[in-house]
Amino acid sequence: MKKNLRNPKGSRDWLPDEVAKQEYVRKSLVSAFEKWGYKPIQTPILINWDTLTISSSKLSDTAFKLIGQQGEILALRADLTTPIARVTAERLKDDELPFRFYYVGKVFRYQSRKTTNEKELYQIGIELIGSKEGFSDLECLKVLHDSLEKLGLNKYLIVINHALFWQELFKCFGETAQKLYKALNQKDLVLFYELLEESEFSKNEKTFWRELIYIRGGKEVINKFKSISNKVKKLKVKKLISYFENIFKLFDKNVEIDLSLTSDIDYYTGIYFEVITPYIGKSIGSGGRYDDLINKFGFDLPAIGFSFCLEDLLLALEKQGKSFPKFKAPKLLSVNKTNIKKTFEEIKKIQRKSSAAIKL
Amino acid sequence: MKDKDIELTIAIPKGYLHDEGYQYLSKFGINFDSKSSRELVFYDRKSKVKALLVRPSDVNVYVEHGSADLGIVGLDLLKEQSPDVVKIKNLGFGYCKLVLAVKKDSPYKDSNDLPANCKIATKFTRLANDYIQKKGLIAEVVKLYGSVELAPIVGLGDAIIDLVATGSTLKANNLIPIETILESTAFLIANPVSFKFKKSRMSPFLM
Repeated sequence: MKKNLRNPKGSRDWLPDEVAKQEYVRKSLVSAFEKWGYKPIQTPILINWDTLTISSSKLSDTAFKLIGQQGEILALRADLTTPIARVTAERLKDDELPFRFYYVGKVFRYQSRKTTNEKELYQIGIELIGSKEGFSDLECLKVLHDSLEKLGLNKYLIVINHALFWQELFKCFGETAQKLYKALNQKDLVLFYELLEESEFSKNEKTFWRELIYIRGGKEVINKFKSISNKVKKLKVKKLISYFENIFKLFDKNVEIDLSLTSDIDYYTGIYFEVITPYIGKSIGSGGRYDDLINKFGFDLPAIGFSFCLEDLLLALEKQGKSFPKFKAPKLLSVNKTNIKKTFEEIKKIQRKSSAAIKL
Repeated sequence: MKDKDIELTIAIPKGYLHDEGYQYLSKFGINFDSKSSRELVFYDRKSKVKALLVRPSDVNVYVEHGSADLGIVGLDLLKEQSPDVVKIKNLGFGYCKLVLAVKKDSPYKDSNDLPANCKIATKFTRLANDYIQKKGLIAEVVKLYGSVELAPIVGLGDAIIDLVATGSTLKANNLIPIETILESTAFLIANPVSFKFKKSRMSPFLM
C-alpha cells in the first residue's frame, strides 16, 4: 500500500509567520484576561473517557476515543471546561474562592464543525469558578468584551439567552415546547411553524411563540419581551427580564438578546451566549453558566466561562484586513575566521537589543 | 454603516428553480440587470443585492460558508446535504418528487419486490441509503452525477432513485415510478451568522 506521509486530514502545520499571527491573537487575549486577574491553568490532552461522558453527551459523541495498554478507555480532550472542572474538584477544595482561570490549548473533535474538516483546534478562554449568578456574569461578559476590543475586531456581536427561560417554557408548554426548541436548534423555522400550527396552543400563545423568536436586539427589545410575555399568564419571566436589564446597564452596543438562540452544549444552566462577526459565517466563540458541571466531579460550585476558537478569530481578523506583526530577520554577521570568539561577542552585543546570528 | 446599507448576497440556482426564484425576489423589488449572459454575479444596485448564479447542488455550500447570505434550494438537496443553515420558509414553488423507479416491463411493483443485493443508481446517495435503511432493503447504491435514467437501460442497476417533475423523462426512457420517497419544493435558507447580523435586511423575507 502507498504510504501516506502527509498530515492526517483535519490537522495543520503552523509556519513561523503563521505562528506570529497566532501569537498576536494569544497575547492580546491573555493580556486582557490577566488585567482582570485571571491566571493560566493547564490540563492534560489525554483524559479518561468517563470524564468526558459525565460532562456532556454531545461532546463525547464527537471525541476521539483511545484504548490504553490495559484496555482502559481514554479520550483526547474535546473541550477545556470539562478538564478544568475536574481538576478544580480534585485539587482545589480547600482554596479560597473564586478561581479565575484562563487557558490556551488544543481540543480534538472528529467533526468540530460542519463547514471544515479541522479535527484539532486551539481554544482560548476563561473560567470564573465559585460565584453564583449575578455580578460574576457581568464580569464574564465584560472580560469577553474587553478581549474582543483588545484584539481589534471591529465588528462583532455577543448574542445572549438564558437556560432558565427555556426551562420555564418547557414547564408551561410541555412536550411541544421541547419539540419547538429542537426545531430551533436545528435552525429549521419551517418545522418550527409547522409544529406551532399543529399545536393545541391558544391563539395568544401561538402569537407569543411566533414573536418570541424574533426578540433579537439591544435594550429596546425588552419592552417587546415584556408585552409578549403578558400574553401567557402562567409564564414567569420577571427575574429574567431584570437579569437582562442589568446587563444592558453595562453594555449598550455589541450585546444583544436573542431568545431564539439555542445551545449546542448541554451543560449550561444560566446565561449562554455566542460571539458572531460578519467576517465569517459561523460563531467565533461561545460560553455560559454551568452550575452543575463541577459537582459531577464531586465539588458543588457554580461557574461561568467562555472560549474562543483561535483559528476562527485569526480568520476573522484576516478578513477584516488586519496587519500582523512579523518576525524580524536577525542581523547576520560574517564569521571572523581568525577570531571566532570576537564574532560571537559582537553578536551577543547586538542581541541585547535585537536578534543576530552568524552568516552561514 | 447602517444595517439597511449592508449588501445582501443571494445564491440562486441555475436550472429548475431559476426562473421562479427570480420571480420570487422581484416581489421584494429585487431585479437584476441581466439574466442570460455568461456572468455569474448580478447586481441590483438600488436594493443593494448581489445574486450569485450557481449550480443547484452548490447553493447550500455558498450559504453554509457565508459566501451568500440567502439561498434558494430544493428540499431534496437540503435533506441530501443537510447543511448548517437556517431554513426560513417553504417557498412553495418548484414542486417535484424523489421517486423509486424501475423499467416499465420489470416485475417489481414496489420496493419489497426488489431482489436482495440489487443496485440502485442515484444522485442522492444519502437519501437513497436512508430509504434503504428505513424500508429494510438489501441494496447497493451506485452514485451517478446525471442522466440517471440511463442506468437501468444499460443494466447498471435494477432501479433508480431520482427527481421527477412531470414524469415525461421517465416515460421517454420506459421507466415507471413505483414509490415516492420525498416531495420537494423550493426553500429559502440563510447563513446563521448573516441571519443574526443582517437582521433588518432579512426581515422582509421572514414575513
